Amino acid sequence: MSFLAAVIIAIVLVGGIMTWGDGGFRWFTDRWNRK
Amino acid sequence: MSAGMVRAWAACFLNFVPLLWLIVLAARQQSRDVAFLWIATSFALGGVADVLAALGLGWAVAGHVYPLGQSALIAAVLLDKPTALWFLGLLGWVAVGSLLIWPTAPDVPLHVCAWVSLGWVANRVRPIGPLWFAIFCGFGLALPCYLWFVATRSLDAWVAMQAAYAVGVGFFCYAASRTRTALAVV
Repeated sequence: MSFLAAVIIAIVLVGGIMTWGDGGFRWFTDRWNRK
Repeated sequence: MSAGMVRAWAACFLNFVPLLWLIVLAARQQSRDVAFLWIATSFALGGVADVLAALGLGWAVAGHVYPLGQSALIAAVLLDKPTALWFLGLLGWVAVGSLLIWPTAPDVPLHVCAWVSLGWVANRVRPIGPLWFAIFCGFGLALPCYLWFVATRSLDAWVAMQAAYAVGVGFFCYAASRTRTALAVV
């Protein structure tokens, strides 16, 4: 069952990154470039 | 520290090299497209899984599911986002199916499906140049080595797997150094 739990956590985590990550990555890159 | 531990931590560190290389490039005023950060994060997921496994508490299972995240994150760069989310969902179902069909080693079919499908996705966008080699070596070439390792649990197989991965990481760093254009899909 831990495998299934890990799959669910991975999907939520990666789905979250894919949904909001672009903004986060761009924010990081913009901040770095402005430095 | 034993030789085995040194090898394990070196392999763990290898996963973070792409992210560190992007930081080095950024520090030298050579910021790369966001897509490189996605792919570097995908490589780093393997390292996070290694660290979680090293911490114990049953987190070793992270090492079984991380290819799902790796493939989905790279697909998010190479495909459009809705398709990549579908891809992630599909891999989730593959994982559930693997658990039903092969409960003793569900990670094996998941690794095969995640990495083979990634090779297919990468092949569709082959003009990405050296980055294609990074994905092909880091995942495509590592797959037979991984299956060899699963079958034998030998040190040779483990070293071969890490070597394939290291070549992939090397090509990523090369691609990041050379490519100045935006990959931009996401």
